Amino acid sequence: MFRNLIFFGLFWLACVKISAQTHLDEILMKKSQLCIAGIGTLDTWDRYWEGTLLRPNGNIGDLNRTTYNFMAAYGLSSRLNLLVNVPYLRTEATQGQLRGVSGFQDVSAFLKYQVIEKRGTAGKFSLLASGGFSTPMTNYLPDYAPLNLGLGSQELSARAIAHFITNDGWFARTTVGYLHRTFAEIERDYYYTDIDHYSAFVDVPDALHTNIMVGKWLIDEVFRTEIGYERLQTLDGHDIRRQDVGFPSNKMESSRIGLGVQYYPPSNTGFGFVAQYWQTFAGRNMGKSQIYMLGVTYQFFTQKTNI
Amino acid sequence: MKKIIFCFTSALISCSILLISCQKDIPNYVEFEAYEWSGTDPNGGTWKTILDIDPSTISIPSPQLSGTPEYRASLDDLAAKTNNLTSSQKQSIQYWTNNPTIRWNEIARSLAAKYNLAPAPNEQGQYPGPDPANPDQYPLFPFAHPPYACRAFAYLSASQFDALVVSWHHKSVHTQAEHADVDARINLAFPKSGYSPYPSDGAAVTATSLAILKAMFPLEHAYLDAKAAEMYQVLEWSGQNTQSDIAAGKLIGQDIAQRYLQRASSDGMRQAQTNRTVSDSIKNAAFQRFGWQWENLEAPQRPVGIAPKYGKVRTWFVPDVTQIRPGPPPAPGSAEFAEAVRELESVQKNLTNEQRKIANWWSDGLSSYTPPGHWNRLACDYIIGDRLNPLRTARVLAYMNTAIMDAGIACWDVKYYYHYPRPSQAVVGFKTILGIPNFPSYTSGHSTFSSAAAETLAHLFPQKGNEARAWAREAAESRIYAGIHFRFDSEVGIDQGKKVSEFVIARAQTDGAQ
Repeated sequence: MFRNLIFFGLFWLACVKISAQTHLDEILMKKSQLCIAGIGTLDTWDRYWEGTLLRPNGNIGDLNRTTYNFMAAYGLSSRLNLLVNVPYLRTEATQGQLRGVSGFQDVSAFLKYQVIEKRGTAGKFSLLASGGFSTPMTNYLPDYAPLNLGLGSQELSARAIAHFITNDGWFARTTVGYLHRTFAEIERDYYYTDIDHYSAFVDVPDALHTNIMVGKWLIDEVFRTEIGYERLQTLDGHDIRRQDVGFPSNKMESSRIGLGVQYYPPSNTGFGFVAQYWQTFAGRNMGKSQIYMLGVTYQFFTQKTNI
Repeated sequence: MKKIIFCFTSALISCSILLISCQKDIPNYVEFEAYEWSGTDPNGGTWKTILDIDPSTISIPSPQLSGTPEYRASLDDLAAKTNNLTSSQKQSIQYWTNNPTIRWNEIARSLAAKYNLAPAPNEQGQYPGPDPANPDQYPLFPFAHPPYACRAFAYLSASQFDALVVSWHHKSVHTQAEHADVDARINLAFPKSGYSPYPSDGAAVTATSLAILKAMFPLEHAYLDAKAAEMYQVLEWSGQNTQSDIAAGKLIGQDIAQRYLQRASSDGMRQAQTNRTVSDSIKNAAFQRFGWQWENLEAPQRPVGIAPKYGKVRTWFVPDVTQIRPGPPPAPGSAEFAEAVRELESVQKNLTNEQRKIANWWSDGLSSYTPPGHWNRLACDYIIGDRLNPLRTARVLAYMNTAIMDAGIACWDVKYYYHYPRPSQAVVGFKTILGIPNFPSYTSGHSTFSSAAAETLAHLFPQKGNEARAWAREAAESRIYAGIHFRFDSEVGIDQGKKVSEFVIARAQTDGAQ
């Protein structure tokens, strides 16, 4: 039920190989530059946290969530970028009799602005801010845990991104975001959480999202590797009761660690390849996921400018 | 370029404003306002009660005589309480309204939903059941599945009706003027009732509701006591009843509740959830008779279905459920069976948005107030729409809920007699969009409950008959859309519910209220 938060960070990074003088701290397209990407993800778990209790469920078996993200980033100016993501999902449970679903999830658009860029003797520091909006593209049912495509709410997000890279290619980046979610709509007008609700609307709790990545360019401009930590935490919500199913208004927490590599063939064709792996190690009302991610990016060099 | 940035930024800002402005509070109860009764039923005290109780055998003290110092003092007390109400007291008045039966019904639905969770498997893959002797030990007692919930609704509503018939009897014996008519200092929060305040009908309903719900939901005593205490105060804060009215109403409610709880203690419910040996013998009997048997397909398997002997629980108005037991369903492998399977497969393959919505709308599964709860909610809307007085309100709920419980008993008799497999068992690899209930397929509980409820409502609200029947039809179809019932489960369930309702309606026609 869980938004694919980590793609965005990944994608910004994946699209940045622009020219020789920039490293990955330049997480922005230059003016009029365009980068597109296709990223496939498998999120799979065989245990989940029912409240704080980590348990298997014989009527779910493995829960597999496959996502295909189609993304584009465009340089509105050298300091302001627009990013759009369209995800197509497929869910399935390997046990039990509940039918998996597939379809488009939530289209999202982000604006990202470089606030500060400072070069010092040790390296370069930059601070960026991003704001985004996402909304369901289809009428998928959020009240279908754990097979639902998404939470069914609209989301407004604001993020701050701090990034530092040393002269010899070590880098660290921290992203902190606040996600405001609107009500989701379900197909019945009464539901019980830990209290009665006489409405078809569900209050999806707001959340904080933190992502920290540390890494190094091993071959300058060609091969990069990184490790990371990510945490998602709703600010409100209720636990799944014993032997109940998940619901969009749940309290949701998940902590993950991961690693990734990026490869840009030296021939400068415009293509890039990315791969990541994440392992969830703590959570609440979410699956103990392992996430495998594989993607291709393509950078158009249509309009070279020096802005 | 600036233009694009500007457009995008303004779009983002407008979205934000739109999003923030749509965030409203989600109501935790059905909001309605106190209303003036469409009639007062002055002869209500002569109506036949559900348990055939003679109201004159329940005695209450005589009321304070008007003009006496005690009476004056109680009016002084009431006048003081109705003035300078705090905002929280006003909220309580608004919440309970002048028809607390509707709120008690909602409280019962809420508890049904809260306790409607199936036991989890333990480490050994077994499913220990709830133990009424140790209700607070996991799994908590009760597991308020539909048979349990509909029984709670039936006892609650029938006892409320009887308590109000007895109250109406005493109102006609001890007729008193409404207090606000006697003393202008008393602020009446509601429209005038048009009947004697002694004994308090609100207190009678509250006392019986409290006792019944405490017995049905033993872990909720503190919650229920607090609700009842608030309600008794509302009777005063709203200017309806003095303490002496309330005390008399409580006596009636408590007396009636005891009679119902005695019935409940020996109605067979305690034996309804069987052990595995009994459950297996019921299953084997079906296999011997018909050559098929339903199995629970969960992992780990639940070895016993929900309430295998619920079909033996004591009914309210149906003399013998085996007399209205329908014939057997089509044998797996028969042409009729193949046709039903074809329909299910085709529905799942081509499920429309409308069908998905209907399946979810009537899902009423775990953690919900169950299909009987759904019908109670609809009935309360009809009651408010027709501005029924408390006695008429309770009468609707009493007949509808006894009909639903009798339908449940009749349906469970059929379910465990035929022990027919669910589509997911009969068709290998068949997937559904709702969880599969832990009991045999034939006949559909949703259909039987809903048909009995709809027919009873159609009798009590003739102008709403078509609408109620259409809803029952939709509830029956919803199970086919969900993939958890064959069409014949639903069709036969609808017929069976109607047969049950005929017994209940026959009683309603002769109870003196028509």
